[in-house]
Amino acid sequence: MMLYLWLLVLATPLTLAFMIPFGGVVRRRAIDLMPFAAIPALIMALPREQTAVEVADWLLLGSSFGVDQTSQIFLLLTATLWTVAGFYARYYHADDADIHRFAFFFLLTMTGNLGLIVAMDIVTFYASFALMTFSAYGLVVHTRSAKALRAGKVYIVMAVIGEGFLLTGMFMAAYSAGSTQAEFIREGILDSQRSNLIIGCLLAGFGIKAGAIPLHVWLPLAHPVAPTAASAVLSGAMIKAGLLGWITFLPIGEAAMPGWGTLLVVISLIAAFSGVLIGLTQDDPKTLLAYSSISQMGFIATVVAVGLAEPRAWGVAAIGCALYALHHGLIKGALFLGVGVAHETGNDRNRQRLVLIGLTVVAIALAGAPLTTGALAKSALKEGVYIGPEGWSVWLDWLLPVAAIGTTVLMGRFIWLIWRHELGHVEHGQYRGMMIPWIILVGLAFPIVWLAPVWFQVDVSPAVAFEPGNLWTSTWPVLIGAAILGVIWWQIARTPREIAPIRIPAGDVLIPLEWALARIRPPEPDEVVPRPPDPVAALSASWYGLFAEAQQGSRTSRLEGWFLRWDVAGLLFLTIGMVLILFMLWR
Amino acid sequence: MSEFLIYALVAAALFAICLHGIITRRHILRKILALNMMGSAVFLLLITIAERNQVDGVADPVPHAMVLTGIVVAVSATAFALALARRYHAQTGHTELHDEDGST
Amino acid sequence: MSLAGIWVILIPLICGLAAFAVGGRSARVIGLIGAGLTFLLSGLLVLHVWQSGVWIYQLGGWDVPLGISLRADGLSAFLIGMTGAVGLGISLYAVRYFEDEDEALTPDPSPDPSAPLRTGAGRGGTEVWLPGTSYWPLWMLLWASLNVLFLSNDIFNLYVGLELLTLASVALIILQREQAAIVAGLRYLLAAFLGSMAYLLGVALIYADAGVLDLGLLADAELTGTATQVAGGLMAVGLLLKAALFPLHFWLPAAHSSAPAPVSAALSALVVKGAFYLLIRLWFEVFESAGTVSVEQMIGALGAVAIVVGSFQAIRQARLKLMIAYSTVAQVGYLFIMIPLAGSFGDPEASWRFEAWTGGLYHALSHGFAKASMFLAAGVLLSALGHDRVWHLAGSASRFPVIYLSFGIAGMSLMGLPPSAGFVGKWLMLRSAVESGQWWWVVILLVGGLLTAGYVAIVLSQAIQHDVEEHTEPHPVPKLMTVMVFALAAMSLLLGLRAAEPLELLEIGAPFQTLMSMVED
Repeated sequence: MMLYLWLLVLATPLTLAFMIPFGGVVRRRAIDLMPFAAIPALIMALPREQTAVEVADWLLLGSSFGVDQTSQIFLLLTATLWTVAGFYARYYHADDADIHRFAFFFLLTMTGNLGLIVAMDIVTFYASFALMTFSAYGLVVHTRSAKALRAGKVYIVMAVIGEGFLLTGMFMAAYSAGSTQAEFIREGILDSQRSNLIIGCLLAGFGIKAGAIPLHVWLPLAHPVAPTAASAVLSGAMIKAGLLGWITFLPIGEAAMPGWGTLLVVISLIAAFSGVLIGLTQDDPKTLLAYSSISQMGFIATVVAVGLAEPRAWGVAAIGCALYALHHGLIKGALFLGVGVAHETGNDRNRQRLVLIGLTVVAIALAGAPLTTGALAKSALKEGVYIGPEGWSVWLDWLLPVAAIGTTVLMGRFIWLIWRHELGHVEHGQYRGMMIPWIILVGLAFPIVWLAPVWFQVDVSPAVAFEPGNLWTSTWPVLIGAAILGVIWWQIARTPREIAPIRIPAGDVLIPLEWALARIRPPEPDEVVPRPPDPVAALSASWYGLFAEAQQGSRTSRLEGWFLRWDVAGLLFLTIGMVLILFMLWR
Repeated sequence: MSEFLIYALVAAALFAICLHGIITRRHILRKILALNMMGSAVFLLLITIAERNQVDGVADPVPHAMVLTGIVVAVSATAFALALARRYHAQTGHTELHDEDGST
Repeated sequence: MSLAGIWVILIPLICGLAAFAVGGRSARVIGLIGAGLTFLLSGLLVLHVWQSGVWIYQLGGWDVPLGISLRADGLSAFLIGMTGAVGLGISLYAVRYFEDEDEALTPDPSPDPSAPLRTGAGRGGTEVWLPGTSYWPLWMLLWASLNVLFLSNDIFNLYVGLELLTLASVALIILQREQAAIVAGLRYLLAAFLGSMAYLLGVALIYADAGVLDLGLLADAELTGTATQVAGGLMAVGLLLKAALFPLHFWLPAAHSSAPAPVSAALSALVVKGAFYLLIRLWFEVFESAGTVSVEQMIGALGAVAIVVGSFQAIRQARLKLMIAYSTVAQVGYLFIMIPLAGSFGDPEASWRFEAWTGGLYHALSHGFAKASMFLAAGVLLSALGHDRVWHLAGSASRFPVIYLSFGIAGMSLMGLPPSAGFVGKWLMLRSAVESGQWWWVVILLVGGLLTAGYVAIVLSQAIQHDVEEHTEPHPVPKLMTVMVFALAAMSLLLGLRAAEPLELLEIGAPFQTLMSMVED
């Protein structure tokens, strides 16, 4: 019975997606029902008690479904966000001639995202992960602008690399475990002779999705160019799939892996700080939010790193991760959707005021001010850090609040950008339809995050946020951040000037890489291939030639043409025959 | 050298000659003929085997049956190949098999 | 029901002959009836094998070694089932496809400038050549000869089946009498006959060694003589040529891409599997004792090169049908990687051999459905747009969403992404490769998937681009054709979701009986 409920969770969006290509009434119904597609998942996220894992022997290589305490929190986040985004998208794309295409990829991505959470074996997990990754390409390039296509290209390249890592890692893990069920995978990884290779593959493969530096380059390009509803789920829900992958499959909490832990903590701290710093130089609020996501994922990943290094910490740290993910997902979703709503306000002062107040509330929550969701999430996260390896907690106790100062300033700049540049930017006349789901999300984010630990009876109580120490560490970074903002504000009020004189283009380290790659890239279909004299360029031109020829209509290379010749083929036939006979005789 | 071996070697030589023909001759008719002769080489071998496997002076009937069936298959295949070659000639005016890239 | 195995050969043969005798438009009706009945009978045969195990029938009541027997074990039933399902899909598609073709050719003998890629030869001549009426008898003959091949239990009978298959395939390729098709057909015919002759010589040599032709008796004889060894080499090279394993693929791209869409689909999805089936049947039963690791590794190596070269050539192709044809060259490579994995490398009693064998066959199954769907999809695009140039497909996704959806699903199966059937096959082969310590095949299996993603992505990303060119209104596409393209792609997905039963079917009467109990645990 439960099994069919889990299948229903996936079948609902999948069926709707497959209705869309058929056009006509079927397509219109499917688009109308799009916002409700995640409702079964939402219902399944609510029970207090987790039921046993259900196995469907007949599906794939024995699919199993279920949730544990951590993944149920992810399911709650994901289902909520997709539902809100679904309603929002319904209006955002009301005038979009290509709404069916958006809906198709939206629903497929949703299926994958929900599937990877409820999957309890690696085949189903990987299938869902791949479905989500590749369908999301359709969302990234939806607008077909040059910017979107570039982002799409970077996205798909990184995605394919990630899939390669994952497939290799998961395959080796499953082979070592002798099972595809998630519960055996962790032990399997530890038992394997190549456990470090497996862990490296999984860290990198999921790290791409989670925006871990330096694998984050696609994220600041892809998250902002997608239509707003898609940006919200990309940055709110899908980025967490990488985190969930780490939590579910890495043998965290089973054995101490100080090497990997140290590596991850360094990477994560770099992400937490550089995300803020690069984010500050952005002019596009959506790009700024994408960088903020990189920074926030860095916060969470530090705690994963603590778990890697010190297994004792993991029990509490896992809950902290889940709660932080829940907080960040809902808040980041609300911020992204808010950007779209701000565009829709037109010149109406009341609307503008409402949007600014709403965005400020969630921005303060992201900064982690007391009483907000951020305060609870950060306190929960710290519970794990305290049990962490010797010496780490001292540093982390310091560095994380400092990063929080950065987040506060970053959010200040975000509100500034919205206020100054984005209000009433492009109006489709869909303000009401977009504002209502957004305001509901803003309103729900607080109670959901505060009630979730109580409802699911996790080991971390909301009361931790009110412990004097935590209350203080959630207050002072915000205060300092606010003070910095105040100084900047005062400066600008006195002499108007550019606040952030440096501009780092979105994609940061990708830019030099792209420049280098541009020298060996295949040309666009109609480009004439230049044949410059110098050897380096000639080499790159011949690399081009591999693709260019096909585009200009020539069918086969010279070598392949040679293989197609009758006499060559006959000779090959003779040779292979002789060799086979000789090999047969020569035992 | 036994009688069987002589026949078998002749069959093998015939097969090899035909293989040479198929690979090197350009004219389609020659290729078809070579294939046809290749079949005959195998039939020769089969008849030799029938002779060798004889029991009480009666040759093994199974290879005979195979040869008969094989001839039927060879006839129809050759006929089809000839018809196709004719159509090829009618449409292209060539009697040689030109390769994909236009070279012969 | 136990006679389904006979009728599955006779019905298409009878219907083919009847369609030939009647001719004209009624040929289509008879052909369709034949397709429906053969499909049902294939299903019955699968059911029979599933329920009562290996089916053996002595023709005319004569017992082996004197008589000839038909035999259906799990492997035969598996492939007959695949042929039945793919064949039915292709038949239903062909009804509308050739209806369109014939209509375009019948009424107006004056040259039609809007159809440059379909210049029938009969148009200028006195008679009007309707490919549709000749399609059905030949297609039925092709189907019957495939079933003969899968059911024959006698190496000479298998030769006859192989020749029938070749004749029917070539006749179908030249159905439209275009020059390109005639050239391709002639090359294919000559190459296939060469392969058959090598096979036939092998048959004679085996008979010289063993004195029997029956597969079962040959397997029991555990031959290791010199004649058998030479026969093994000859038969292998002949069948590799017929299965178009690199570098003996020279005939395939032209032949598969210049045929009409339903024919291309049947050739790539089914006919290539005929030669492959025969090779593994012989290799793991007759040559089980005579086969050597070096031969197996060499065949596997050719398969690996086929994957890389075939995929790379597919990426380079400017025409969709050629791209799909080269994709077949690559996918055939996957099939043959099964030979070294399931072969005599390492411990002959190891369970990985059975895993690889099953995995390879499952890959054949998934490729059958996926490739049929792809070629039929290309046929739809070709007849609707009037061309199949990959770099000019921009914007067509919005007009043919189901076609591209199907293409994407089929591509997923070729890449081996879960939850498609291709994944199951690849997974089993990967496992076997790791277990047996032949890690070099792991690398090629994984790299092949990425290369496949390359050409599938080219088509899909072109299709969803903004429409930059002025397109003429596309020729309307009959709904039935679209539905069949989708149905075949969906099958390649469903067989991945539900792989337990087909995998169990393969166990019935499979070689490596001693190993299977170990896999069960």
